[in-house]
Formats: sequence, structure tokens, C-alpha cells
Amino acid sequence: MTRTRDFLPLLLNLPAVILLVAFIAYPIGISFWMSLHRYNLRRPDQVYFHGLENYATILASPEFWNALWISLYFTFMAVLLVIVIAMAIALLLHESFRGRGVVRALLLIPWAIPGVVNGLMWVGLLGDYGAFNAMLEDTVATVNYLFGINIVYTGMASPFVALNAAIGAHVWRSVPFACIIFLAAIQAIPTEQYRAARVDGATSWNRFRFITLPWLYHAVLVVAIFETMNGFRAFDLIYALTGGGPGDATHVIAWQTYKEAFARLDFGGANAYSYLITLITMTLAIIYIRLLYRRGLVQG
Amino acid sequence: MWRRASLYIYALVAVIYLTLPFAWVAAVSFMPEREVTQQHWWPEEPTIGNYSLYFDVEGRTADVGAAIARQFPRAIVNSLIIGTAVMLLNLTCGSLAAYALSRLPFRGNLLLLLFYLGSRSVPGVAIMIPMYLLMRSYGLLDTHLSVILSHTTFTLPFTIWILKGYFQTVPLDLERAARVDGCTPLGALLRVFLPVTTPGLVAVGIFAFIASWGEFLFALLFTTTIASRPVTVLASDFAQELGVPFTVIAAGGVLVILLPLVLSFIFQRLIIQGIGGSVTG
Repeated sequence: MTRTRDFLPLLLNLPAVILLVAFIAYPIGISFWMSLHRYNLRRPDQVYFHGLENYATILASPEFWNALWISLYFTFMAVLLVIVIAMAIALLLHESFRGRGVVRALLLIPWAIPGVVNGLMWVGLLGDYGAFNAMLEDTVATVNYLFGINIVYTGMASPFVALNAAIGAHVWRSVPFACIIFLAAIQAIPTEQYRAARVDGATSWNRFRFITLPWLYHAVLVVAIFETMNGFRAFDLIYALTGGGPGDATHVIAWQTYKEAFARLDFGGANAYSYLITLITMTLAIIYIRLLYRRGLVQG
Repeated sequence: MWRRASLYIYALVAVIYLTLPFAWVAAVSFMPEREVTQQHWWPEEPTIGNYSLYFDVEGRTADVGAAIARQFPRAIVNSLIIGTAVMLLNLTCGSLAAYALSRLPFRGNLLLLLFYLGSRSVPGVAIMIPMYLLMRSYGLLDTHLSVILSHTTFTLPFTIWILKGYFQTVPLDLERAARVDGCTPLGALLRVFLPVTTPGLVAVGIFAFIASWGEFLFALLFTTTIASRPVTVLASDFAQELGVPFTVIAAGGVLVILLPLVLSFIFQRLIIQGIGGSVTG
């Protein structure tokens, strides 16, 4: 009886499951298996098992720690900025004013732009004749004048500028998604709470602090986890904007993995890299799923 | 009064932040090269010369970047083929799975849901090498199919997740009535359920299409020639080739962005509802 009843839903899930097993679960398994091998495409005859050696090599290499450090900085700054900016815009869009619909439509512009094109755009914006380059130059000149110091602005040739510009471009494109999630969460707050608070004479800051923020706690957490995963995956933007340079200033971990695989053709080592990224993001995913569980959003 | 005014200033700052980078690039795409070096914000002698390079197949081959630009129309067609296939695969596989998850109680549905959630969080770089080898061993490198399959797998979990939530908002009585009238579960899905849930389906379809249009990593790995290269991969060539005037690159960027931008404006409300409902439940 139950068997026939279970048959149809399982059948309906079959196409999706087949696709995901074939192109996600299976590759993940293979990836792990390969990470335990010596496997360089330049020497296809010398493929052999050597346990955790790839991992040992990576953990001992300065490139890995450099990439990890850059990715951590990149991700931390990106998450922080995305949350602050997205929240600011979400709070604005919750107010009613003429032209709100226009602002909401414009919100989707950065979201619709592919990562590669975003990178190319910022190459121009920060290039020699770029709009933002001129602004940055002027800002640095003003600061130099005001404080009587002499910072030399070298644009994207400076590791500091390149890395932070990449973060800025990444944040710009990530803000809309987070903003929409915040907006949905804000709109779910019962308005009676605000009315009651206003009757009690709460200031607007206190209303934000004691009503809005607690209600948004879950949304902020969700965005934080999403953006952390996104930060660790950043690749297309780096490819187009900096190409990992100047030097190794923007060698984020995804870029490093790509280089390891398709420049050095060291598939074993690159798979070990991939696995370390997977571990980091999977840990975050588990936290995220548990979070949804507790809210009762995932139900059996 | 002051509150109003500050609200509008606030709104203005937000609009500038959201639009300025793209607005500048769009303006530059209509400038002759000389005006960029003069750091103009608005083209004084607007030209469509940067765009004509992309569609002028025969002439102007001497221009730097012309070799890339000439392939653009073909690459846009590739992106359209890939995006449409990804959208259709998402809609069929996604709606079947989401229907079962939201409507038919069965053993193992929690496990499936966790499997979908889990596969959504696998980063592309984690599986790029096995995927590459897989596609190579099936002889699928440099075909549309390899890109379609990879794009479908990474958009599908999201599609199922959103559709499941959307389907749950449709009153159950609707199908009960259909079942009483003698419909099979599948018949109820096709004749009663799908028409009601069209907005949700449109939203996830557009989502999958835009995601596929903008994806880069797998497209870069799997495609080598213009026979299959989508437009994002072709555009990335500009990052490798030196000396291409930014005016030309800007025009290319605008061409790539145009379709997703138009789609997101048309389906604005559905997209915002879709994203908003995806995580807050």
C-alpha cells in the first residue's frame, strides 16, 4: 500500500535527482578520490595513490595561506559591506515616497549584470581615464593637502587598491539580492508593534533597535551565510578585473584553485584545493540548514 | 518637511550608488575614444561606431578587438540556446520535484529536501575538474549540451526550493476538487495546478535563464570555439587582449547586459517576490 503511494512522488523527483547525482554528487566523490592521487596532466602515465600528501603539500605552501588570507579578508569585508548597504537601501524602500517603484526597479541593475561584465566595467571605471579613478585621485590629493602628507596614488597597480576595488565591485553586484531578502523580512514585521512603540514614545532609533533588528535577525544571518559562500567562490570578477594581480594581491582561493588546475595542470593538488573550499562552504551550509530547521522551514 | 527632504536625498544617494557605474559605462559606449581620455561624463559627439564594430562583419577588421567583436552575434545566439534549454529543463524537472515535495506525502521527502539544499551549496570550483574530465570522456567538450547540463544542475536546487514554497501557497481544495472529478494526480498537476502557479513558474524560469546567461566558470572550461562559446566567455577575452579601447569594451558590455536587464525590468515584481520568498519561507 505505502509502496504504491510512495512510487509516484519518487518518480516525479527522479529527473532532478539523476541530474544532481550525475553532475554534483558524483563529481564531488571523484574530486575527493582524485585529491588523494598524484595526477598531473603533463604526466598522465604517472597517476598513483598517495594518500593525504596533496593536502600536506598545500598546507605547507605559502601560496595557499596567502590565498586563504586574501579570501578571508575579501569575504569578511564583503559580507560586512553588503549587509550594511543592503540594509540601508531596504529601510529606504520600506518608507513610502514618490518614485519608490523606480528605485526598486533600479535595484535590479547590478543584480542582472554578469560577474565577468561587472569585472570589465570596473576595469574601465578604475582605469586611467575611468570615472572613479579620477575621483579617487582627487580624494587622495585632497587628503595629502589637508594632512600635509604624501600618499602616492598608483591606481590598480597598487595591491591595496586592487584588492579593495575588487571587494567594492563584488559588493555592488551583491547588494540587490541581500536587499530584497531584507525588504521581504521588514515587510513581514507586524505594524502594530511600531504603532504600540510610537504610542509609548519610542524614538525612531529605538524602534529600529528594538523592533526591526530583532525581527531581521534571521534574515541577516541568512544573508551573512549566503554572502560568505559567495565570497569564497568569487572567481569571474577576479578573472576579468585583476587577473589575480598585481603580483598575487588578488589571488583569492577560487582563483588559486583554477590556476593550480588549468595552468599547472596539477589535477591532484587542485582537487585537494577544491576540497578545502568545499569543506569551508559545506560547514556554512550545514549551519544554514540547521538554522532553517529550527525555524521550522524545512519540514518532513 | 525636513523628514521628506532628507528621505529624498537618501533615495537620491541610493539611486546614484545603484546606477552610476553602469550609467557611466553606457555613456562611454556612445563616445568616440578621444572623449574618454578627456574624461567626459556625457558624450558630446555621440557615435554608434563602437556598436557597429560588433555587427559589421566584413569591414573594419583592422580595429583592435575587432576579432572578438565580430564573434559577438554568434556568441549571443549560443547564450540564447543555452539559457533557453536551461530554463526549460529547470521548469520540467523542477516543477515535478517541487510538486511531489509540496503536495504528496511520502517517505524520504525530508532526505530529498536536504539533498537539494546541500547540492545548492556546492561551489563550482569544487567540482570543476571532475566535471571537465566527465565532459571530456563523453566527448561533450565544446558543445552546448555540456554547458546546459552544468548550468541546469547548479540552478535546479534553487528552482525546486522556490517552487516548493510557491506551490504550498496554492489552496489544496483546488486539486481535491479536480481529484473528486476524476483527475489523476498528474492530471491535477497539468490541468489545475500549473495554470494557477504560472507566475511562480515564470519567475523561476527567468531566474534560471539569467543565471545561465551570466555564468562563467563552467562555460569557460567547457567551450573552446565559437561553435559553443557563450557571450560571457567571449567578453572575457577583452580582459586578456591588450590595447582594446574601453569604448569598444563598454559597447560589448552593454550588449551582454541588455537582455538580462530588460528581462529583470519586465519581470521585476515576480523576481523580487521570488528572491524574497526563497529564504524567508
